[in-house]
Amino acid sequence: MSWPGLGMTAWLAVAACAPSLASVKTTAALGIGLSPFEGAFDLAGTYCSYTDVVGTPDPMCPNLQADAANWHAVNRAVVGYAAALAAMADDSTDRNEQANIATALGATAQLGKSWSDALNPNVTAGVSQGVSTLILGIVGVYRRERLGKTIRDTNDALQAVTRGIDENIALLDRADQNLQRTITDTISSVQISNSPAANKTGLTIALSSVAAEVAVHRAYLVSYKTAIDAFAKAHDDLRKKVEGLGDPKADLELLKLIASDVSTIVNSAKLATTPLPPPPPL
Amino acid sequence: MAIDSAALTEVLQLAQVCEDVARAALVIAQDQLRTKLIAQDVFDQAFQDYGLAMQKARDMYYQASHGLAQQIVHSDGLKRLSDQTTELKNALSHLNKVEHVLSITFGVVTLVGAVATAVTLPSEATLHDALTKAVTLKTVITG
Repeated sequence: MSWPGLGMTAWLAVAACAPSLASVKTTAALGIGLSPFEGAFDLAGTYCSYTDVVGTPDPMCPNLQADAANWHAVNRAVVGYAAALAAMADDSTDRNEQANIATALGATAQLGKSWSDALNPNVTAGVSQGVSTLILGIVGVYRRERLGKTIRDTNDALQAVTRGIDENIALLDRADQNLQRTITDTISSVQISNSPAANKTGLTIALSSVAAEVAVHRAYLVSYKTAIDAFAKAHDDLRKKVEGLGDPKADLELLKLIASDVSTIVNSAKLATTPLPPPPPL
Repeated sequence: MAIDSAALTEVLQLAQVCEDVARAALVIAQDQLRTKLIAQDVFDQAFQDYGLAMQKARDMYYQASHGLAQQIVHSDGLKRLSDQTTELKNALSHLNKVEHVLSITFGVVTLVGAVATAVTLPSEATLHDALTKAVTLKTVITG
């Protein structure tokens, strides 16, 4: 004997889960898309060398350079975590973490030296703690059953890491902006100086190329901010959607709801198939 | 200490006004060089002062997110300092005649340096020093 109601309940359960998995995959794709930004904070090349040349070295440059390796690791942790999410959400069989790119990224996402004081220590402490939590999310077998708990446990960490990245972007962008203004003023000063025309032209060309590099760097930072903020927001939305999943108590409640649903459908089906009693004689 | 984003904005605005003051002083020196009121070597000195002031302003951006820098926001001195610096910026922007441009550019460097110190190491003494520098520069400008 088959129960059409049971089949329908199973279909409803699958349909309810399907959007969540699709959301996880979309969110993970946003995180994986952060991969090209690993070197976003490698500022030393243009910026620091220019400020050295013009005799107003940036005292923060050694600190910025010292933190660069840590920022590489932070980005790898974020991308690795996103890859782990994608692997967990995969509809195919359980994934072996050893063969997954997420594991490789997680292994190289360890923070090295301590942070410089370029940023507020509270912010960098949050980033360090966040990276550790992201790595915990990466480690383990990639099964869908882990998704709810992982997303819930990792959300605060991801927000803290995002905040650190945003703060560093703001800091570097302002430094870049300051440099752009300085270059603009230097060019206008060169133009009115009594230097030979060839010198003026040469200096203006050189300065313009530095300004162009700085502009490219600023655009790159804006892209990074947009991308990391989008990932963090999508992840936060995901956490709200999967609230309760993976929690044994919540899962039990979910099962009760499904059982109650089945019971209602079965009773309705019984009612529908039971012949009505003959009407009482008038 | 958590970062107060409103406080952060105020410190960043102060740094921005300091940049504007430095640039306004440079524009005066540029005008004087263009009209041959000053020689190239005098302008070079003014430009050096400008570079130093911009460097100090840049340092303020770095310090702005730090807990120490945020303390200054909760003092009455910041409001006065911000007002004074903005007034200076406006005064410099409308200044047509200057006898000693180097005294202005030097005043700007010392002012921005003092503001940067007040932001980095906030205390009554550093705030007072920055305010004094602002008043001195205003005297130089307005005569």
